[in-house]
Amino acid sequence: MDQQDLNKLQTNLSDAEIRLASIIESFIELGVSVYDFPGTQESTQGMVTNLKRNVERIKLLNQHANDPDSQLRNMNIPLEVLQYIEDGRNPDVYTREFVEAIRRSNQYQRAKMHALKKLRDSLAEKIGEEFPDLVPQVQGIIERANGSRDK
Amino acid sequence: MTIAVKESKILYGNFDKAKSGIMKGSGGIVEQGPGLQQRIITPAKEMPPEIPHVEFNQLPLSVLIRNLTVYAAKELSQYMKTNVRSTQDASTRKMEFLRLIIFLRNQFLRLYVLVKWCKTIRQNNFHTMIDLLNWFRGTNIIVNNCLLALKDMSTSMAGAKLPNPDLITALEVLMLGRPDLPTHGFLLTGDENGQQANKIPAKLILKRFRDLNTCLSVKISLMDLPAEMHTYSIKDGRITFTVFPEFEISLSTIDRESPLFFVDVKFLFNENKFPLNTTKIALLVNDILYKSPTPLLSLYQFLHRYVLTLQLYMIHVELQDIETNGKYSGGNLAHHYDPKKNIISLRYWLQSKMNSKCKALIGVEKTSQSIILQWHLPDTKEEGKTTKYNNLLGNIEAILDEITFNHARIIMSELLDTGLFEGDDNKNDTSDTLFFHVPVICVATAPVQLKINTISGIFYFKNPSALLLSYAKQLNQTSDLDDVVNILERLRMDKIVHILRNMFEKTGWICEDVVKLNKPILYDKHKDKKRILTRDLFIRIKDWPANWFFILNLVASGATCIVEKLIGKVQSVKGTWEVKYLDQGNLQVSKLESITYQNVMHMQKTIIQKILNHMIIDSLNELKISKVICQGEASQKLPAYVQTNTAGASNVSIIAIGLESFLQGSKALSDTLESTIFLKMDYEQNEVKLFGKFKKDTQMIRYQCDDLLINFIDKRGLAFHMTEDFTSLNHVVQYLTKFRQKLMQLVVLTDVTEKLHNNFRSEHFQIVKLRPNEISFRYLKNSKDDQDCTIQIVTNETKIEKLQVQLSPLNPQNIIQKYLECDKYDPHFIFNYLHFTSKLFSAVKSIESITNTNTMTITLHLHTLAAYQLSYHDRLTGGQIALCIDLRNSPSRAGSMYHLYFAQEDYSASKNPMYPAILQVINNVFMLNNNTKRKVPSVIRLGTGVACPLGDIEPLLEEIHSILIRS
Repeated sequence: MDQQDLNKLQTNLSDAEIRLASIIESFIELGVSVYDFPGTQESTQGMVTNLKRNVERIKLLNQHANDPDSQLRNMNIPLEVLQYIEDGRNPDVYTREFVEAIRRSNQYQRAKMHALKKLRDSLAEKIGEEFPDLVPQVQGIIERANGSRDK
Repeated sequence: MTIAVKESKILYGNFDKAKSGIMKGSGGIVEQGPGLQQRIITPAKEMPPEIPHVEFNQLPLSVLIRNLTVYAAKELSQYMKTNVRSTQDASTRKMEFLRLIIFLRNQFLRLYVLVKWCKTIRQNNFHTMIDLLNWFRGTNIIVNNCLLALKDMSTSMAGAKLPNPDLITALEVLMLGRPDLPTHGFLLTGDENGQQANKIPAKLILKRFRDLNTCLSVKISLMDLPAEMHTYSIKDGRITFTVFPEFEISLSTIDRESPLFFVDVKFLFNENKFPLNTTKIALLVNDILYKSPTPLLSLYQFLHRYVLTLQLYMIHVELQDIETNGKYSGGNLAHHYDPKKNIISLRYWLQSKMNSKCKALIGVEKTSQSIILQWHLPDTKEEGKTTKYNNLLGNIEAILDEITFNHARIIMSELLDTGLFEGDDNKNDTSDTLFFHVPVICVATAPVQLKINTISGIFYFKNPSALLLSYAKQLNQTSDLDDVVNILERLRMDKIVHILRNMFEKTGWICEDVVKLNKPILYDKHKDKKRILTRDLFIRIKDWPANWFFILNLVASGATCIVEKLIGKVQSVKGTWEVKYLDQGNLQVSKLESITYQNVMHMQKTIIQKILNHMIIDSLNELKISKVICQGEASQKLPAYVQTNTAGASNVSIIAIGLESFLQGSKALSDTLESTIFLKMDYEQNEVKLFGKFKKDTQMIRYQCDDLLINFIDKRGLAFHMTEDFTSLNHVVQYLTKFRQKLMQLVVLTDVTEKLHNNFRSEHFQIVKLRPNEISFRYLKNSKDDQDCTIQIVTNETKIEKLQVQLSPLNPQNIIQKYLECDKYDPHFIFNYLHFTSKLFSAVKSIESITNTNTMTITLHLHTLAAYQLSYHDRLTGGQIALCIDLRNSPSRAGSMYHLYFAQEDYSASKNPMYPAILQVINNVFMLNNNTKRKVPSVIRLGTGVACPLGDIEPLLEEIHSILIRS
């Protein structure tokens, strides 16, 4: 994804955000008017107008979001984030935990690989000591298995 | 890779938390560097593969927005369709609509939050993180598999049988599956088979040996040698030291400057029983030879200690063998090997209670530097004395045999010292038998052989009986020799008891096993004396009174035994047996040997008398009566009346009893009878007699009372006896009670008869009949009756309750009977009254008998006991006279007087035909100034009447009567 697309994505996201804010706002208004609904023709008309406007806004949001030019379709959302929001939790916490999980895995993996490398090197050294004839082969294996010769 | 780099840049760019971490493609290494610096180790040629992209569980934002907007529009239109024409009321519809609006608002709110979150992912690279985590997971599995494979490899390597435990062989097996190395089977010992050996010419070798021999000789002569290593030989290039009997060591060297080194060692004592770790010894020895300034001295020290340790270990092994397989097996021997202290502590005779003393110690003696066995002598007299044994290896069993044998001998000799045993005189000194003499009959003993099992240390009897077996068991449960002696003494005592029981039971006695006292009767007497055993034997004969026993107190001390014979009463009170009576005075002591069957038989006949005596004494004790048994000399001092009755009788016993205590403290008879009475038991005739004697001649003696059982021995004497036949010995006490009852009755009778005699002091008084509770007597002058009066004596246990006076129907005084019955008068008064009024009644009786004709009737009336009236009635004339006779106390004179006068109406009734007679009586008898001669001088004339003493009533009445009749 190049920078242009990224910028466009941010613009789209901001646009969607504004739209969503207005939709939420008008839902609140609608709720208030329904709650205080006096039952008069006039108020009914006002509420219908309000509802229509809101539906219109929803429609526009859909249109903009699914526009072929919109970058929103390139924004993949993990379902876990949805679940987080669904549960009323902060999705940023999810992000942080995810990053930490990656960091842990990285360290763990690195340590293991490091240990295996040491084993390989010391095995190679011992084999080299015991079988000097085999040294080239051993070196070959080491190179093939990542070739770290800097011992 | 570029993607990876880019993405890692993204990672660093966006998230501060992920500060480091570089990844490469699969097979690459992620290294964590400090700060943001990153180092990528990558071969220049190859690009690592890209991280696989994952789309799973992700949705584009546009799809989410579309879904929600479509859903919201659909919901709204749906609501409108279904609810506009709904029949529900407005408020419900309103609420439902409101609920829908709020729901949709919340949904959009969530979408809003999502969009906000999306804005934070500025590079839109969250999916890269997902890919990364996914890749890590995959790699983790690969690495884990790798580790698991390594683990499997090491597990399978463990099962591989390697010819040599080294890495070479291990790898060979790993690679080829079998060992096939050129060095396999290659020995570095330099044997002649090797090709290289042939390369050295024999001459050179021999020369080298000779050089070495010389070299060694020179070297040894310059070195300090320990005294033990002076014996050596130099041969074949090596020097061999022989230290007999410990070891033989061969050393060698290279040249004069080099130190000696180890060649071979051989231990001279173990006959190669143990495989030697020569390599280790060689290392140690070489070390000593190389490092020590005095190598041979140090070498000797080292080898000597090594030999000692080894020998001790071999002894330990030998002991183990003896304990498990040898003759001491079965838990008789135990040892503890302490390899740190180099000590073996040994314990034998473990099954015996004496095992605390049965100890030996094996260790290295400091002075001689050799292994010794130290045996602490168990002899108590010589404490601290020990015996040492050398040359243990191979001889342990023989030494143990010697120790146990000696120990047994020591115990035997200690036992022999107690004097309880006799040694085996017939055999030689090494005999291990003790002879313990146990009686088999009273006069003879038989030896019992006591031995000690030298293997287990347990006492046993030869040819044991059940009793001996039980005692052998007891012997083995003690560790103290004094206890052993005690047990054996008890054994002897048991045997004696057995013999005596046997004797008594065979002759018809019964031995009571049930009776068991808390402690022997003679326990207190002997409790302070050591080695004295006492035992009680309770025996009896079948028909003896219950609880009475012939008690044999056996007192044994050493080989002598004394039998004390007693008679006693033992009763079980609340489950415990108590001695109730013990004949302390007549203790018969005899030796065991003197008890024979004749004795026992004789005793059976003679003892019953004693038993009965004691029984009576016991009964008397229970009744708290003071008593003395009259035996021997005392029987000579008995009063004659008792002696004459007992002379010559053999089965007779006499007991003197205090009268007062016999009558339970009553002194009633003390004045009547002598203070001592005698109880005579005649067992031959089954007769019990009580002898007593009156102190003085009393009225009582005159009358024979059959019911009282009192028999006077002679008619003049004052002595008497009471006799009862007895049937059962158990009831002797009953007879005593009966005697007492009779004596009490005697008391009462004596008392009453005395009273009667005192009151009726006249020649007319005579006791007609005497029974224990009834006395009949006559007292009237002209009585024609058998008895005038009968007295019933009603008694309670101790005293007379009352006397019932019954006058005879023919007795003229019978008219006062009802008064006697009505009122409670003192018997003394009654007797007195009867006595002093008897003259009045006899006078009246005589008058009546003379005068009572057809014309004149005379009757005596009784108003009270003190007021009589004599009525004259003339049928012809109809005249009546009432002469009143009052009994009055005279104030001036002692005693009572009769006061005679005519009734008042007789004076006034001058029409009374008998009035002249009255006047005449008044004039002649009553009037003072009367010159007529007085017939009764003691009469006091009172004018209206006359008074006279009690004795003069008869003539006075006759005088008045004669006047009245005449007129």
